[in-house]
Amino acid sequence: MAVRHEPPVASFLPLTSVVFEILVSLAGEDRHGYSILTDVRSRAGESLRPGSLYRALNRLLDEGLIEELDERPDPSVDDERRRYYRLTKLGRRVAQAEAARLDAQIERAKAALVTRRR
Amino acid sequence: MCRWALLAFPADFRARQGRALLQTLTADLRRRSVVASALRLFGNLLDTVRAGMAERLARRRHSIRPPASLNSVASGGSPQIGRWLVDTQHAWRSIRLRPGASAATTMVFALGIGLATAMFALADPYFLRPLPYERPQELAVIRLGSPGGRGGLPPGGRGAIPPPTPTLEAWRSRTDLFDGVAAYTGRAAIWVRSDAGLVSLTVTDVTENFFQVLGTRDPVPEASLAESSTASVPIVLASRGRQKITADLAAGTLVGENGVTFRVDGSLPERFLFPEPGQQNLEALSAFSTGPLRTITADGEGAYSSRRPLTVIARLKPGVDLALAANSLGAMMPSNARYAVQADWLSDVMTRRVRPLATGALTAGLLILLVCAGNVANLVAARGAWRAREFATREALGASRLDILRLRLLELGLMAVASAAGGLGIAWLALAASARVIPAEYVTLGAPAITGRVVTFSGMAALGVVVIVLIPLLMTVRPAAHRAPGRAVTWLRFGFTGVQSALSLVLAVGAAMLLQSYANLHAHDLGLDRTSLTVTVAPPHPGGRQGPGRVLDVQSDVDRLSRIPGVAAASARRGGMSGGSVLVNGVPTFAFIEDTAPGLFDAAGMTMRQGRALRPGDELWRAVVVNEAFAREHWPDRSPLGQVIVRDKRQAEVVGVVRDVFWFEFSFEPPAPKIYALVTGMPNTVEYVVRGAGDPTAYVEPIRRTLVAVHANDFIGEVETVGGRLADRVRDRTFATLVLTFYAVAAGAVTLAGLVGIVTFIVARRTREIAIRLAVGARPTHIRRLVVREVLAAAAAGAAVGLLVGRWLSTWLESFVFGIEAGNWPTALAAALGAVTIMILAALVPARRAVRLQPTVALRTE
Repeated sequence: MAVRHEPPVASFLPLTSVVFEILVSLAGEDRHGYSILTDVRSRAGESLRPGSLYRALNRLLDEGLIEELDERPDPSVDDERRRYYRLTKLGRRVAQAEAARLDAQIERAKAALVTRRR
Repeated sequence: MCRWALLAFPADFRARQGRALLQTLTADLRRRSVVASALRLFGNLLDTVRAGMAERLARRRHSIRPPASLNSVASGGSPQIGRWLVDTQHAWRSIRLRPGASAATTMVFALGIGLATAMFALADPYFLRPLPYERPQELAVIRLGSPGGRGGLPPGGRGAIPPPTPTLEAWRSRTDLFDGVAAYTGRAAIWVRSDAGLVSLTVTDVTENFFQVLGTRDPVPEASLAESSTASVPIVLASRGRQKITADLAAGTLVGENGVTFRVDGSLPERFLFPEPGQQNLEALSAFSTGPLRTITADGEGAYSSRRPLTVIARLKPGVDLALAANSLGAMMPSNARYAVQADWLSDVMTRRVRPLATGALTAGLLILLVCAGNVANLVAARGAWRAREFATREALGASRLDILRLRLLELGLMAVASAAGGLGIAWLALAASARVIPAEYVTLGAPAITGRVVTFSGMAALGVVVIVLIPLLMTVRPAAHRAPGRAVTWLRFGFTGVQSALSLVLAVGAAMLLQSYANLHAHDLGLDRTSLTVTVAPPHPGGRQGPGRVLDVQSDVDRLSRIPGVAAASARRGGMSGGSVLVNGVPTFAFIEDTAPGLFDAAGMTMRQGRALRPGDELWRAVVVNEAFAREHWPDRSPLGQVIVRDKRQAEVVGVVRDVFWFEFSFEPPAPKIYALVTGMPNTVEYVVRGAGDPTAYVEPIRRTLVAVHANDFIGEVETVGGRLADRVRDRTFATLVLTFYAVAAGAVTLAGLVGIVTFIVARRTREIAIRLAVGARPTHIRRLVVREVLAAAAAGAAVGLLVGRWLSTWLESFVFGIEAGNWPTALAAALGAVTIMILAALVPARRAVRLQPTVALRTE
């Protein structure tokens, strides 16, 4: 059985804010494109547009950070044109690494700002 | 549009994500208003194109190849689209390199689209929106009219008579023609007591099947109206009536002035459209069989008099047309009937009055679009001429003519997209501004708004302009600066400038006249005190329209009104205009005669020019007062005082001359010659005029109470100020004038902008000649003179034509303008002078630019 070698997590960092928000959005549940769009807008403002979202989704699919789901909800509540996405293990690790990186960056910034104030 | 935007992405991307992206783009527009959706769609489309282009560029940069399985899909248009993308970038750069010229073109373009869209939105409710009833195309209005004068008559107007109730019943029995026949009566005011004192309600009676025949979309409380009750009269309030009656009364009973009790049985839905043009003053509905008006206006036989005309609305059965209905009903009429049956579609009747304005708006919109297309074409041609050198360089570097055409097409496309968006914004602003002045009558069928149809029109308009602009664009693709212009080209540009000049002048003359008219309308001195109050009182006509009316004891009413505290003067005049044959200077002549009570001039604030006013003792044609127009016409070189006017062998001495005033015959004509005479009693309609100190609204209630106490069974109109009543009368005119002025000013501005473009174009075409002249020693002043002379010749020729056309236009405009005579030369000449000055200024800018060019640089364009 062929073993798939995943690229190191660090090679994906830093993430753009759109990509990071998409990963965070998918961290809680599997979503379709419009659901991701509304979720990201509710957290990060109205700036994300469908064209940019799908360009980013396409890249994330190519890089293996998200995957497309085969199973679909009940057709009565579903639009057949929708595609559902899920965060892969690699995607979750990358998002965690980015969150840690941002966290560290903020800590450094806080420390620097406090020092400057003194 | 979204599918087109998707083309910006590579084919494999579209195959993988296209449908999902389309779904999201559509979902993102839901649950928003039309304007918000349009803005969101615009932003999303731009973003989609930008993301698609970025994806392509990123792939090219990183040599990303599509997966092998998709290669077959991706091969085909991809390199072609790549070239378009690069060209789009070049086009965008080229637009940014010449910000002034690009902004000017886009602004002219956007202004044209915006104005045309606004005009379309104004006309839209009257041409394209169906009436808010079930199957409105089956509804017809049926009435009786004189056989010669078919159609065009308002219900109850001259030449049309209301069908009496027996006729209505006969019509209702024709189930072979109609699915239902309903009717409503004319309006009358009833007075009811509320918390705020006595208020008037304008009531219309309707038949019991009225709402059923109409097929209203919202539920209407009709069942209760049909109930017959002797104890109280059921009424249903319209939204306007609801505002008048306080909330606690709206569900209970109202006590009328004559002791009749009205039971409020509910309210009409907010969006209910009463099937009559100008229904905005409807306040309440009552039932035909039990309505309050019946007791006031029905004559002895149960048929309704002309004060209560019936309008019959029928729902035609499928397959029955107007002619068949009218002929079939006509056959039921007695052979000696004086009236013929007329049938008109309800939608025609509803839109008839506003249709001329709507048609005018639509025509104006299309014209402005054409003017805009011509001017954008000029500006694009000028842009091409200035860039001859750039295109020559591109050709020298190997670009084909097709490459240059593509580049310019893309520039035009980008500007068209920006202009369509800007145009929608301008239209929105124009509509928001018009909402403040638009008369209620014009919005009964729906206020103009930016709907999906209007957005589509704006897109189509932009596309139309692009198609027209393609002609000069194709003509100037070839670098032509090095070719000497032939005689034909010289004449062509002379003609082009002349036509532009004439067009801008015609528009400038029109705009100047309309602006002046608008100012006149507002500053117009009526010759009356605008704060004087008037109210009309009319006794019922027991014998119908032809019968004599009761003679009102006017003097005692005037005395009662004078006793109201604060009232300075009160008087009365006979309603409407009467006239008769009189002898003036021994010559028989027709004259308008105004019957008045003493003190009218004082109460109405009319100024005496000579002599004295009428006073008690002047009755029975002993003494009269004439207006200035009468004095001018009959005694231009003599004093009118002491002259004699004979009527029915009675001689009256002219004792005074009063100033010309605009009574309620307010028109665009100067006041007619008129005689004022004193009478003791007045039959039919009387108009009381009261002037009080301070705020006129304080007297409205006391005046009404005073009259209601005496005239319990007479019709009493609204108590209004002279100014308010006249403002209502001229509102239509004001609106039409405003719309026309707006159009003329905007069209004039667009044309002048185009003129600047064409002059730039002319100078650009002569760059080489100018360079040679400079090289051989010509002075900059000579060059400037050369350029200005050429423009001036064309402008002067155009101005002459424009003045003649403008004079003809001003005759046509006479029906729209107020206080301006046709062929008003000072206005026309001022407009001409302004237009020619702007043309010369427009010529000087490129001329300055031309003389600053170094000859070597200018000649390098070869």
